[in-house]
Amino acid sequence: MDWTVYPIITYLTTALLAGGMLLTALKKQPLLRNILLIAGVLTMSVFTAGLWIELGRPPMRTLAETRLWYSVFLAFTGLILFYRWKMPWMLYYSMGMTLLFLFINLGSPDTYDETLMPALQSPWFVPHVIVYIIGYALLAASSLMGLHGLWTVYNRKSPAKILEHADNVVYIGFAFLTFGLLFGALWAKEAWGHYWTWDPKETWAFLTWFMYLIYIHIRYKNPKKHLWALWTLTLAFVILLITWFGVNYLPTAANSVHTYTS
Amino acid sequence: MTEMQNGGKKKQKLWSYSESFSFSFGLIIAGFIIEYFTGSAKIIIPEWPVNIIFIVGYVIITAVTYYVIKGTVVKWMVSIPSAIAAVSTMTIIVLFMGFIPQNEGDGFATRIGLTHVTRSWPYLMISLYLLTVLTFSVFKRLKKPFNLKKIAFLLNHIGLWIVIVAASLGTGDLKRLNLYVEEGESERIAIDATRTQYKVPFEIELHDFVMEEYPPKIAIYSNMTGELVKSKADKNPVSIAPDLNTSVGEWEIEVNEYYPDAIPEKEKYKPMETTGAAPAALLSVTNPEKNISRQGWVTAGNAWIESKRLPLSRAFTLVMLAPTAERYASDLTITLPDGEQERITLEVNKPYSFGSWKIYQSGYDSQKGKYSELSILELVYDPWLEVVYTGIFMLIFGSLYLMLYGKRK
Repeated sequence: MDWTVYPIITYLTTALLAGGMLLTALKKQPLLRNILLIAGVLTMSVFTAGLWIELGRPPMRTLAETRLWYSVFLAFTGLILFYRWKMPWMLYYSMGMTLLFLFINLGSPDTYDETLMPALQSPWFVPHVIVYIIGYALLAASSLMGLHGLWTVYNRKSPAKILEHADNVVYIGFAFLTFGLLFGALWAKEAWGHYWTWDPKETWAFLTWFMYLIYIHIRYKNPKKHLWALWTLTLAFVILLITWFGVNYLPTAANSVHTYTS
Repeated sequence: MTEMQNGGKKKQKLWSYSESFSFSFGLIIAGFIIEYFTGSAKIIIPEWPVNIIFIVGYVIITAVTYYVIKGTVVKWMVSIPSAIAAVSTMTIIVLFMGFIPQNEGDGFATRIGLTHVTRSWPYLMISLYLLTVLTFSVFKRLKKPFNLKKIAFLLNHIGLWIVIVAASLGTGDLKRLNLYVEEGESERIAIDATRTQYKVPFEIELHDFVMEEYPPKIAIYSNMTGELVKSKADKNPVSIAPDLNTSVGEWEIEVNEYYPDAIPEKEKYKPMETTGAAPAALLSVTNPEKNISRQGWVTAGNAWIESKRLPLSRAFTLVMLAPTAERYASDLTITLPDGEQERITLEVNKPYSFGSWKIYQSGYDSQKGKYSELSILELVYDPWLEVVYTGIFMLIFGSLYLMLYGKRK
């Protein structure tokens, strides 16, 4: 399976997920809803697996390929969180993001490179990228909870319950983010002989990690300062977005080892 | 936590957020001023055993401060507001690093250290302060009862402490050397970045340097812009294969002959596996719409063979791109200090370890590419590796707890 079938996959996934979300909104046919949602996620997963087999390497080098993984894991995380917390907006958000990434790829496919530079042919490569994608997806979700919380405050209601949910999601996402940093450090040590070089992507990943560290400590010490926590969560998401998408466009990006696409 | 809040209110009001932030900001502002007037911190990370003396001395001083001297300052430093302020201030310093390109430029930003943040006074001062806050927070929790939650706390905080301290002070003992060895020769002299020579405690003999390449790619580019023709439906560039039939835009490309290793003979190329051979292909290219038909040889060329391209029209040319390395490796014999010999194949990402040494495949003679008779090895001596790994795995286990239990009350 390669990129030539990608448009069909995208439209099929969109139809399945949209159907599932519609049933969620209508609160009807839970069984059919589950089938549609899971089938949508599986469609993307099968395509990704097929692409992996076709390329003979993990499809994680170009932006298009990383977007594909982001879609898959956002959808998975969204599904799990939906079943765990029963929050429909969570589902709409993650599936919406999933579809957004799928459609970005449809509009601007990257060069379909079949080669992988030797430094990337490391056993740390897949776990390093996958834990980041899960971590980023969770933290993105927590930030949406933050926005939901701000909206609740605006409506003069207490966001305490929302923040309690967000706490767990941040803890889990933060753990994944830590794994990402540590796996990256172990890989860098193996491949280049040093753990950390303050490469621009590393610098921004560090900033992201620190922002969620601040959130965790604020929540620990001052659980009643809802607005502090909510704004920290929002700001942390901005930093996270820069780390994920923005670093390549910053003046500091020249010579980054994390820029592979030309 | 509640105990601190209640106790604090009764006795005296402990410094909280505004004071903590003022202190941290004051610290980096002082750092900027020192940097401006004295230049960047010329810190030389000490070698063994001075670095371990520093670490032990630091732990003793902080422990004495925490357990013996105590006082309000310690109580404040161990509090979460001071931790949050220190982390936030560190974030601000690193934000500068995130936006300002490092190690270039001059002017005011350089004078106050913002173009070399990690070697600047404000960064060093806030780092040391943050480390001390972290150290105190560990001391605070180092008492019974040790339930799972506290163990996770200690794994995360002590793990982080070890990683920071060992990875930064350990660099004093770190040696990164390059060793150049030619096929058929032995070498035991390596050089560092300043070209200082070191005699390493082992000898390396290179038998053979091998490189495998991906098939080269062919591409059509525009003579006007010099850029590759953008094509959504087709691959451009496309990897070559013996009987490839493909199209790029209006052009249909057919591979008639393809040799991964070929040498020129008259106007043609013939297959021959010899030093200096380059990939070459005979292609038929047609453009049915414009009724153009071309046939000709292309080669990516190399240091010995001139590259050859195929002009298609006034506007377009077909080229073969130089193949990229898929894998390269050195066939070596290493003679260890005790005289023991070991024959190994060294390739990227598969280093050879010996004591605190690691030997990496680093490079080759890039002019000669796969015909290089030179292999460049990187030798890394890092006696602190196990210590840093211990810290990293403590953090991994601490994070696993966060992942499994979330925020536990």
